[in-house]
Amino acid sequence: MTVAQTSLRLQQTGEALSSALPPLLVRAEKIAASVILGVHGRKTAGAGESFWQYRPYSFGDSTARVDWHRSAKGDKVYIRENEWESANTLWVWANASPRMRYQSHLATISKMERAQLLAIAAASLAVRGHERVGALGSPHRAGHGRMALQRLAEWVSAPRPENLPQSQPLQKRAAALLISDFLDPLDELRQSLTRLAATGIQGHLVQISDPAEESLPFDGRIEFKGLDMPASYLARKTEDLRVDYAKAFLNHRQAVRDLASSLGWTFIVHRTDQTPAQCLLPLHLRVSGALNAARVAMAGARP
Amino acid sequence: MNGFLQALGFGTPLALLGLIALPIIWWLLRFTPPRPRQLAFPPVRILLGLPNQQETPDKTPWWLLLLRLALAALFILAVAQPFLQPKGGSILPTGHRLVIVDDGWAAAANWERHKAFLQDVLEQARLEGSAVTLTGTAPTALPISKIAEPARDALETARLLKPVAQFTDRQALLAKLRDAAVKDVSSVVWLSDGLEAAGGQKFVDGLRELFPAAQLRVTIPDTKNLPLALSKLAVQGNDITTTVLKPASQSSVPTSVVVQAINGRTLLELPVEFAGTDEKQVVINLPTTLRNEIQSIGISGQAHAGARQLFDDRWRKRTIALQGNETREQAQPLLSPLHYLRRGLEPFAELYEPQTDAELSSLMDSGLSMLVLADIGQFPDQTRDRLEQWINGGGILLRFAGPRLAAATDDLLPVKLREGDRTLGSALSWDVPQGLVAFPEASPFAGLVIDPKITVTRQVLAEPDPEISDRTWASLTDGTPLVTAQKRGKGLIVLFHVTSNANWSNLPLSGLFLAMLQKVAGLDATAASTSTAAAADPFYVPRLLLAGNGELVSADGNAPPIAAVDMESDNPLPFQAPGLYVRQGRERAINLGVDAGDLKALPATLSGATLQAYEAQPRRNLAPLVFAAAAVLFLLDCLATLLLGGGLRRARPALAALVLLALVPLSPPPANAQDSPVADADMQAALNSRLAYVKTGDADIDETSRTGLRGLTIFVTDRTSAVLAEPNGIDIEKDEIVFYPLLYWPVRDAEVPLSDIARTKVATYLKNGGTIFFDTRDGGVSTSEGGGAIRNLLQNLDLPPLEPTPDKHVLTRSFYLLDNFPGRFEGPRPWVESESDGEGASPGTADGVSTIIIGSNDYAAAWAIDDAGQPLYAVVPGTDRQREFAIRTGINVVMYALTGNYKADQVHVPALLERLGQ
Repeated sequence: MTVAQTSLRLQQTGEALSSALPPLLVRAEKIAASVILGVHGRKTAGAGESFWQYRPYSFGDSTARVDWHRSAKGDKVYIRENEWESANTLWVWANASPRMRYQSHLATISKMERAQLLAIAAASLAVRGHERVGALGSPHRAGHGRMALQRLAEWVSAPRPENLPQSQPLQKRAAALLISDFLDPLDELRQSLTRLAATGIQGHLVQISDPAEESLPFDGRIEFKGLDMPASYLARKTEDLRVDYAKAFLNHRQAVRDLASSLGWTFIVHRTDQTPAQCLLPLHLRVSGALNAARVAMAGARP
Repeated sequence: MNGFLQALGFGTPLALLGLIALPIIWWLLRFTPPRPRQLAFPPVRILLGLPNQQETPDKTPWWLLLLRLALAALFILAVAQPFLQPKGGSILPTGHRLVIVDDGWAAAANWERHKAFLQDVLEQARLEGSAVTLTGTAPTALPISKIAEPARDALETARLLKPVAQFTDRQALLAKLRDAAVKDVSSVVWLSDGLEAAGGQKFVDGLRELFPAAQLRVTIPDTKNLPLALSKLAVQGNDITTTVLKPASQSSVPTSVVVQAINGRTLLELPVEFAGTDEKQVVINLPTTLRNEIQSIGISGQAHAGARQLFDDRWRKRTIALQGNETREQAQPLLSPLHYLRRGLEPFAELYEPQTDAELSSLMDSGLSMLVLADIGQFPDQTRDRLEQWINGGGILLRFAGPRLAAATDDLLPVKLREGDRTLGSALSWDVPQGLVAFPEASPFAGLVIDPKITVTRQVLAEPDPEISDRTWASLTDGTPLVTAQKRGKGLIVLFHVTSNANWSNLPLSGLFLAMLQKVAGLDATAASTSTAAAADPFYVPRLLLAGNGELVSADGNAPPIAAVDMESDNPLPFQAPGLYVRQGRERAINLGVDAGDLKALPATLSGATLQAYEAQPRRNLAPLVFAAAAVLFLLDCLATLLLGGGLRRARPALAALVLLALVPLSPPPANAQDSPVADADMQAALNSRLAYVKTGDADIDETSRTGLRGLTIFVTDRTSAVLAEPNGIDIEKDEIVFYPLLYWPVRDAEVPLSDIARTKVATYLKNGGTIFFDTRDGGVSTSEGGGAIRNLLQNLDLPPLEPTPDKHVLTRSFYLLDNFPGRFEGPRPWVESESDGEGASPGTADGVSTIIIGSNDYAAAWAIDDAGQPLYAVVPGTDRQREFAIRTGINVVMYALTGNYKADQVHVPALLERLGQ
């Protein structure tokens, strides 16, 4: 199957998956100045589709902008102004390194496939919400519509060696969806994410884990080999390691979560034995900001 | 168990030392756990961050350890080549063991068993640590040189031991044992050849007397394995007579006597059946040329010296040509110069009397050994040259003097002759007739007794010559030579200075003349020499010796030569090795003369000894079994390793393949294809159903048959479900015909009866269900006249009565419904086998199908079409309807041949319908 075919299939699956959810509007409290039309009202007059205000005609205004319907009600001549509306950008990145290919006997799908599916589904939602989408690290600019989605799917579905997102000059206040297993050393992870956060981006981390990675469901003498590193670990009695390992794994995850919250980013855990929809809903809530809004609302409702 | 252990032996016990290594293997295996299962795992970094585990070496599971130890032990055992001796010889007391082997000719018949048993006995002794004295009963083999040597050395000796072609002499061995003072013998094992000849009970008694304390065991071969033997050859005239002897106790099994040529090829094989007797005389009569090639006569399947008699020069007949110049022979035969020669040479040579030079020449071409010329003085140049060439190539020319020779001679003479002859004791002579003096030493006649009555009255004289004394074989009392000889090339010229009749001397009338003739004729010209040095060689030197197993081997120099005097006596030295001996190019055979008395078997019991059979000692080799067990364990170990390493799940297909592979030898072997090569054409014929026509040899008819059958094949394939391949043409004399369901056989006007082979073939074919469609191709002329050609053709073939196809015959409805059967002509109906009641199968027909159909309408011509599908021959009288019906006839015939009486059931259809339909 060629890359194009793979990406197309991925795109279709992603769209089918996302069709159950409303269009995604990337949360943007303060959308950076952008000339690109979108759905985010800028609370100021400008290019847009929704009505903002009538203001009296002043010298220099083009007569073409006179709203004759309103002006006919009185003596003054009014000009109709629409609200300046602009679009936000969702940057998507899914780890496609060899490590992500892992699929244990407990899972039905590899981590990489799941990560790609989630990335496309989220991007598809964003496209339907008239947001711009782009693949982090790709040479293409973020764009609207199905073409952008298609380009993104092509980029996402190709395997790549790097384990961490590359930082690049990004539009401020844009959102970034980073999907990976985040099993990298914490220092490297922190470095990479901090650099990305420095561009002012709002990040959302989705950690994809294979169930076997959480529970170590093996017995006996096993030599564990890394998929992306030459190191190997010889376990003489794997069953004895299970408790220690689970603790260490959760510690690592907590550290990543802490790192995310320190950057003000969100963090979701998704296991490959769960359905992708189970992840997509919280992801939608977080990226659209609904969760925060709901939290605020709940907090407010509380006495 | 104890018995089992005692019965267990090892071929290479040293390998058992490997068992010492087992503890080391155990220790190594214990700390070398199986390879861990490998697993790719992304969070290996987290695993690496875990606190270190306690480093305890992992141990191999105990059962795997046991398995591998057993594997190693089994392998070592297998390498040591274990074997099982069902009946151990351990009953013999340990201590000095005397092993006596009958290694004469009779043992050679069972030598493999002998040797295996001997090695077992010695091996046993070696394991026990007993000392062994090994000796044999044949007089020349195995001297008692090593008394009580270690069994290992005796094993070495035994390995090289071979039977010799001699009679055993057990009494002599007893004497030798007594002389050698062999003592402290705890057991005696005598591996006998099973024959009484050299004294059985007497030998046992002798051994008892020598070794009173020893346990005595005698091994005898099974009666059926006792040797057959061949008595000495007797040659009388053309018949070579010998007698096949068998031990009286042996039941008679047919065998055969084989006559072998010098180059090893079999000249003659005569079956021999013992009709209730123990001996059977065999008379061999071969043409001279073949007879002269005989090297030995043997009994087939008997590989020992007693069953082989060698043939030598004495019994080879020479071809001798006689030539005289007389014409009065018929009138006065006693005066003929050839008369005495003929009588003298007849018993031991093949005589020819060539009348012309051409006949003589052709005789010389076919290997004439001697030419006798009675009083022939000169030859034409051409013949003389041919003669000289023949002499130089090894021929012996024996000449007799006479008036003609005295008058004029050529140079084919040993000495130069004076012209004219000399007359002694005549009325006008002072001299008296001369007698003979003793033959000189160098002469081949040396040793012959001279009859004093012999007188010579006339002779031709040789010119004085310094060499003349060397060339003289016999001379008169006055010193003049009587017989001279000279070597020419490889050949020899001998001249009797008298005539071959009684005209010049009375020598031809004496017995001496006969002896002299035989001496000359018995000479091998290649080696016979007039020089004194060679003649003085008194010994026959062995050239080929008969080995114990009956094979001729070249003499190795150990065999002593035999003095000529001994050789001439009837019974040469008693223990001389049999074989072929040579002296001066003359070959003499010494044969082992076995007579009926030698073949008496040992009695079933010998007092003072326990008897035992060789055959009851099959040694079971356990090594393959142990190897197999080791292999099974190895497979189990592989499986266990896979299991432990976790590779089982991944390796499932491979495992299945492995199991299958292991099962393959258990499944029955695939049936072997027929071994005999099948001709390619036959193979093709058998693979597809096809029609065939018989080639008549007439190209036109054959071509018509071919195109006709091709057309019919196309029609049949088009119109019916039968699929036929291209028709074949066959030669009834040569080709196999069983593959074809239907044979189309055009009959020519002049047919000769079938050959025997073809007739058998056709009869078999018909008997096995084949159908032959004869076509007389004449529109019914011949059948109405009694069918001359076809009657001729089928002479002697066993055929049932025939009748014209009846109305309800299956042929009328086997595919199409037909009323008549036109071909190219609209002639009468074909004739088929007469059916008994019109519908059922008559006896003699295969499945109710007429085995032969005789038509007369030239069917093939009607069916023949060319490549474009156009008919090749016009039909007579000629309508498309007629051709169509000809084709239908053909299809009906083919379907009839293929489906048999299947359509005969149709006659019952109305009745069946009536019953069903009520």
